[in-house]
Amino acid sequence: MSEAAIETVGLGKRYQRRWALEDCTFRIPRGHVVGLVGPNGAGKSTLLNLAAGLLAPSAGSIKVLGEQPARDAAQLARVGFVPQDAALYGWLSIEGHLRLGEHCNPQWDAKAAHARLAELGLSTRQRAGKLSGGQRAQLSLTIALAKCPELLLLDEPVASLDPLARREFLGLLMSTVAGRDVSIVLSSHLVSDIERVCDYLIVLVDSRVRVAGEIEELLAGHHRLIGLRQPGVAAPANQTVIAARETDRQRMLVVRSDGPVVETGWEIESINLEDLVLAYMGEGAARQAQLPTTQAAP
Amino acid sequence: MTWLAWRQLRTQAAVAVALLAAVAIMLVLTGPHLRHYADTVVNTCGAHHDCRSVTANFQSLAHLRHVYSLLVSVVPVLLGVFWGAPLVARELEAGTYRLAWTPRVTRVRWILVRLAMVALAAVAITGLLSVAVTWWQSPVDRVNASLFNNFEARDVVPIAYVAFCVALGALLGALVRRTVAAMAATVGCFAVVRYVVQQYVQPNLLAPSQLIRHYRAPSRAYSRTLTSPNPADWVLSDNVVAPSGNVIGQYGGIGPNGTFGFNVSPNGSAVFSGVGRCPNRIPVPPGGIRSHLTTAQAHAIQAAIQRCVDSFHLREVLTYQPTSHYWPLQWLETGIFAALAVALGAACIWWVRRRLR
Repeated sequence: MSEAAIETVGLGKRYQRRWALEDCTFRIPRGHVVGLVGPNGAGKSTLLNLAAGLLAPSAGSIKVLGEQPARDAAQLARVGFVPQDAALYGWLSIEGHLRLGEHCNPQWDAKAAHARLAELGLSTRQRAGKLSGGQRAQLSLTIALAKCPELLLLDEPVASLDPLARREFLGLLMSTVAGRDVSIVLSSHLVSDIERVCDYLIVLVDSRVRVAGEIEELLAGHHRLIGLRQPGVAAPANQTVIAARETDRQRMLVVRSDGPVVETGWEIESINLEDLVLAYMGEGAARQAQLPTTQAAP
Repeated sequence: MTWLAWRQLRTQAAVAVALLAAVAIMLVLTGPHLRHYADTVVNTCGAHHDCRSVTANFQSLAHLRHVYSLLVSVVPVLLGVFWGAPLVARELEAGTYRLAWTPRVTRVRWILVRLAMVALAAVAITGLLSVAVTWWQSPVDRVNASLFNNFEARDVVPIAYVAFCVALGALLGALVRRTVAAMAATVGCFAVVRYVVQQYVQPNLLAPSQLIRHYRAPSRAYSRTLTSPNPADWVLSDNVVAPSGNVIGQYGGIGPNGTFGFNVSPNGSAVFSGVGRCPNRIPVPPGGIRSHLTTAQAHAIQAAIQRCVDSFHLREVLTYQPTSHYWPLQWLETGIFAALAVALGAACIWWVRRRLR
């Protein structure tokens, strides 16, 4: 249990000339439900495919459950992957997919898989091509779960689902993995999905990791500050500005607090997850973060 | 994995086998009669002096011969396009390779099993088709003395072609990752490789035979005076060569493109274009050389032209593959494409294993 679920050092992936992922260094402990969030094209799928061993890194290294991804059969068996488009053989029946899974995987919980499908009310004789988007996602998840993985990777599993199916899918995911020793990494471009199920957050913007950490700690460590506009004063001491917005008289900041705000004149508010993510994702976040942060002397 | 590979191939294979069966039934229904007709009526037509009508009748009996030959030429490419090209490309497009690349099924095993199964099925279908069509066509090829005319659609060559096309399609699919693009590329690449092998590799592997003779002028343009020993031989070229070694005419004529190119002026002096002026005069009748000639006049002209041609000391070189080279050529072509197929298959496996990530 000492090894991380995913640990990367300087991880990068280049497609031809474009870097889809650059210089990512982070460590996700095991036992978390991790939300991987970022705008479209930020590199979420690339990161998950790297973790699943379907892609090889162009730079740096990645270790999944302490091993190189897809190094051998044993390592493959420990990781379940639900790809973005719930890739299934349209011509193959649900039963066929389960048979395929059983055939392909050393560990296979056929009983649980059948029970899950029965619970969903899916007939195993149906062809995968005839299923709705939600059903396809559920089947894909069922296949991944039947492998009894230690790490479950889900790439935008609910992207194509309507809000109700989305809620159902995530609910089922949570109830299924409850009590199991399984880590989950789940990507989404919607914070509301993450907020519902995740306890760990990674924000990926422009192929780089902006922030990673437990959500509770992140929420406790970030604040919204509102103060009067003062020339020459960027932010209070011990605060790293993540995003800033100014009106005529006021200056509103989202900051990472490295210590208590000692200056007066700032109104301190707690921040919710959505605002936190938006602050990191927001335009010019990178530029703002480079502002001198502790220049203001009392 | 074998199960999945079979499930993916099953429907297509069933369709192919059904079509093959339909063609085989047509061949079996008409083949024996054709053979019998060739063995009896056509063989004895010389005695009855009606070879013209008998042969024409035979050709109409075998009127589907071009269709069958075309079928054998096209099937390897079709299988390469519809079985080979989507093999990897469609899985990449649909993302379904992620279902297959699992703990028990490594990428190498996956591509190995799929490639082997599809290639075997394609080889079996093409082989059976080629054998059936070759059997059906053998009396036609005999009567028409056209052993080499459909060389690429007879016996073992199509089998190597199909193996090559499937491996080529699979590799291109893995490289370009688009099914439709890989399909188109498969057709193009196959055409190019076949052309290159036919033009530049084959002639160097099995040297054709040659007949060399003092050049005799044909009595008419385009009529040949030098023919290969067997009418079924494959004539590659029929060149007229000057003493300097320059080829001055093709297809048995001195002029370009087999024409017997010479100009005779009314006074009887003749000029062979590109060769020279005749030392002797051609006995031109008052009406000119193209007027109606008596037999004696024609003979005199022919003899004068031959004397003229003799003065140039030309040789005619007929280059041909004799019928005895048919099987060596078949095996050579088969060997070349089978070797290429193995190389492409290995490249495809290597690409899927190492580079596809």
